Amino acid sequence: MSPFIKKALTDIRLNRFLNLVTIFTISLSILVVSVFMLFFENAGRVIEAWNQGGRAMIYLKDSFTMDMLPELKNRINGLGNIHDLVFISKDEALDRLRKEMSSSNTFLKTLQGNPLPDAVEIKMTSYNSIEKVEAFAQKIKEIEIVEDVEYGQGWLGKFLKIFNLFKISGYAMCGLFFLVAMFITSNTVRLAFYSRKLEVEIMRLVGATETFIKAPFYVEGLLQGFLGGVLGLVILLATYLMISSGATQSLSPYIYFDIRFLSIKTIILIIFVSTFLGWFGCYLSLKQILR
Amino acid sequence: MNPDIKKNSIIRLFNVSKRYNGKFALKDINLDIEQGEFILISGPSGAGKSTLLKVLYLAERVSEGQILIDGMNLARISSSRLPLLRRRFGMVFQDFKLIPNRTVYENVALVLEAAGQKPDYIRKKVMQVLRTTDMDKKVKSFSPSLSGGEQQRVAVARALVGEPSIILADEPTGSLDAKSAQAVLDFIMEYHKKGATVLIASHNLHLLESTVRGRNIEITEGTIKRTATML
Repeated sequence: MSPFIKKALTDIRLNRFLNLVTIFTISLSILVVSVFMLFFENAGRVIEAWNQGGRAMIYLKDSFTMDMLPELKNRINGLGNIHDLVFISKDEALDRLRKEMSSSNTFLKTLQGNPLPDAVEIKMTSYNSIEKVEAFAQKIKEIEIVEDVEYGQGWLGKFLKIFNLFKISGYAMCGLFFLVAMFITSNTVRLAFYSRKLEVEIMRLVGATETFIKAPFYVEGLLQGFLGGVLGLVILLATYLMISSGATQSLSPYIYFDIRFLSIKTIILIIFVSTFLGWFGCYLSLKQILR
Repeated sequence: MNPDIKKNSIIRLFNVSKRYNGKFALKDINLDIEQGEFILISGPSGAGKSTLLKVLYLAERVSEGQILIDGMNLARISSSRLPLLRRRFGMVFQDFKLIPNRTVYENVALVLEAAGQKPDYIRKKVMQVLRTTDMDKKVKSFSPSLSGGEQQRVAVARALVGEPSIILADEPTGSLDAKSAQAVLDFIMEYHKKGATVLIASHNLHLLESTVRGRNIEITEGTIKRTATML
């Protein structure tokens, strides 16, 4: 083991309370950042999934008959951007509804006839913006036999607005909490340095170079940043495992994706940034002290 | 040419002065020390003995004059080369200056670690020097658990482990009883016999004058008042 790492570990052991508080505080900062990242990644996946195969339901007028279907399909396909097209008859739709609402079957039994319209479910190819989807829906609406087009315009528009708002505030919060992590490390290194002032003075007297003196502090900063990052992610993972299965199950009738944990790439990025901040906090502190 | 300047001088001071807030701690010091010489710097408290040692190992920069150590002009030494200069010295202080949360072994090994020596060499050399100073049975002890005499023996071991050419000792026996003081001086003298130059700033004239052969440089109010040969 490198003598610098050995020395840093010894120093961490000797000042374990201060170092534990530091690592824990860094981990909380990283936890907040990671929560934002988790939200962004999952929200990003929803949008991406929608962009890569957004669904829309085309509800048809009562006057629709099956012999109109080939022409309708041709006209919809003619608009382009159609990945898949499935006709759902009113009877099939009622069957589906009965299955989905099995607990409220009494209500469905009282129905006189079938109030549901015939419909066509389409899967669209990629769209970059809600405006393009709206323009596409408008073109479908112009087909005479089409009654209405439902593509989740309400929730999608709101979701995108909230997502963008969260994104901006999320970036600001991430920056803020990264700064917090950095200043905490910087402060700990400063305290560690002052508590070892005599040691540094003696090291200089016996001919130690500045690199030899500073290296253990840098290793300590790196370790604090790394361990803080790992601990923050472990807390997030534990919380995620505790609540995600329940949340996914309760939301499954409404969403067709599962809430996933951070990707390996993001995990590595968070740990790298956290470790870097540990080092940078140390650098700032030593630069000021050893000026 | 100054007749006092000798051919094999290792330390030379030319008109060295050091001022603190305008007041002279050292004034116009000229000194020439030969390799292997033993120098006792004596004088009352506040005379400038410690300051003279400090300007030699560059804990303080001189206000005026020049110092040459083994041909190196201290005024021209950059901060990056300062560690190389300090490795030429072995230093002993009255307050020992040991790192309290490191063991005896670690305190002594620090010198060689700082010099980038290999672990095997460090282990061998540290144990050797600790045996010489009779501290090899306390390698795992921490300095606060040792007596003053033992701490100073560790400090001497640390000063000697890097095999420096110059030993600077500032009141090394100042806080020790007679027996411990004699032991510490004996270790330094033993090393001096191998050819090292030794400068000791001390009040303890009686002990030193009866132990060593060398020069006594008496300093008063920052100036050299008298130089005498001992024994």
